[in-house]
Amino acid sequence: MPSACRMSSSKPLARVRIKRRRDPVAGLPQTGDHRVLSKQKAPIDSVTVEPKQTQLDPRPAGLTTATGTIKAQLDLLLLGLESLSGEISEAVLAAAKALNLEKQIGDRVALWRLRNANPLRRSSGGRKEVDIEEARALVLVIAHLAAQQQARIRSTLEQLEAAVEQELSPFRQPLVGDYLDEFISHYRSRMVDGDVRDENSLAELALRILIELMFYSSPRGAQRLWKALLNRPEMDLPAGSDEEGEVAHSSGSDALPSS
Amino acid sequence: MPSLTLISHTYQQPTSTLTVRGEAPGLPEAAEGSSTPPLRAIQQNFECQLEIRQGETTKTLQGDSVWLSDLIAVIDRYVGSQLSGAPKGTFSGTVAIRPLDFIFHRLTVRQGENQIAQVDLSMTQLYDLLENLSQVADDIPQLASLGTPVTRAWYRQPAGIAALLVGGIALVAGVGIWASRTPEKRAPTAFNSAQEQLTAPEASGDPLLRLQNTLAQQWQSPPDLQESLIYRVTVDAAGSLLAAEPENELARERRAETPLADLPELPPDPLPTGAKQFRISLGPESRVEVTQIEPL
Repeated sequence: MPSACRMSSSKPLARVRIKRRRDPVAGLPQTGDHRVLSKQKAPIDSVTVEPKQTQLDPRPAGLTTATGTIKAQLDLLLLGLESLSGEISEAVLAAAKALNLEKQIGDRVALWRLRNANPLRRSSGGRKEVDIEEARALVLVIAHLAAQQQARIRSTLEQLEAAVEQELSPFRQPLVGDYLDEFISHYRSRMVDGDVRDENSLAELALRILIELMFYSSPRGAQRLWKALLNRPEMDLPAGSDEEGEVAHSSGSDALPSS
Repeated sequence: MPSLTLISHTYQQPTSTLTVRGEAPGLPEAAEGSSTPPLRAIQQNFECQLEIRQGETTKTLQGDSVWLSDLIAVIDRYVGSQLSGAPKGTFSGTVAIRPLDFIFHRLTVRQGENQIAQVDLSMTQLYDLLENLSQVADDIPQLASLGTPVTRAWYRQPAGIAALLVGGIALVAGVGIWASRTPEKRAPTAFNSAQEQLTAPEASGDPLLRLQNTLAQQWQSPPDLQESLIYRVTVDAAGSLLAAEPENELARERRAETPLADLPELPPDPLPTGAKQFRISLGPESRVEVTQIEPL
């Protein structure tokens, strides 16, 4: 593991810094192209994402339901997207529709149940199991939404890199600060360990989620996320969090929708 | 005599430009006017040039098909480890990368016969690089089978590069961070086969020389380093590093900046059969010294 970052609203992020230069994105320079058939990528601020059915790798042997780690990670990525762009349920449902995933994520209740299957959630009521097809659907939706949000994700990440470079607190960078505040606030209100984790630990988690979202915003994002989920070591999750039948007592925007 | 057609293509991301070129025997007419480059037709003399923009400067790296294959494999594996929550330095043949902290990464690549280049990449630069590499891997599936050109590659030639590349692409000289090394310090045979040994660590060969070559390829001393960092390293029978224990205080303090950052300090006890221990010194000006520690 690289050195864990230590941060607070008043402390610089990086401990060890080697002189580097930050690279502001200034558009795509035109490289001289010989008899070349240059293939231009979509501009970085593109928000139009063509819906397409991405083929993910076959399911691993024996895995018919998502592990607690997979469920937690998917919910945290959605939390990251939500922290960047605000309420996200409608966007998730629209993406699911565009990707022909309404069978898995058809309405707000289904989405609520999938997200609340995260063992880290305070409200661990509803259905606890997420089958592998539902996890796949969430992967495709997250990559789709990350692609839509790529410009925002990249700008926020570039601010973070500049802050690390200059040994400034990321909380003082407008985009990063807003993102961190949102993420930490959501985490504290929704997750079972939200009250006990300190700000630095939550900020580090938030920034790691931001970095992951950058890589999942690629046209290859869904495959990357799926592969990463299947290779991810199991997280430390609350004991008994996968037991069935707990009572939901969620709050705020995360409450069980009535529709 | 069949005609050869030069095929070239440029991949662009905001901080990364990758140009690939190679030769194909007589192209079909379909290639003319096609929007898709016939990169799959490339059969020989493959070369590539990678530009990484860092602020107002650009670092330029060059290589052949082996080099690009290594780069693709290493970056893909490295990002995979990042996304799986267990970031870990990795290397293959002519390319190595390791984390410096949670945002920055140090890419070390072989350049030509006796040079090493290093580039520190931010996350967005790493993303851009991966995007270009993923695309080229899709476009040139035959890359691994192209082999190294028999003739001296253009990027190793002292002149003539500008004539081969039309416009816009920086020349090799003076770009990037070069860590020139003195060839006399190495055993020529070991140096020539370093790539093979690195990609196939189980291959036979002097483990001391193999370790020396591996470290020489990866160690770039920080500019402010005044004295050497001494470690006791343990290598298993296959040549893989198992542990690196700092033997001076500075070595402990600056471990994260060395190629040994991800290794445990203590080796397995008892040592695996065939394991060997070495004392290594990573010094200023990227010096590397390795001596074997005789078992008691």
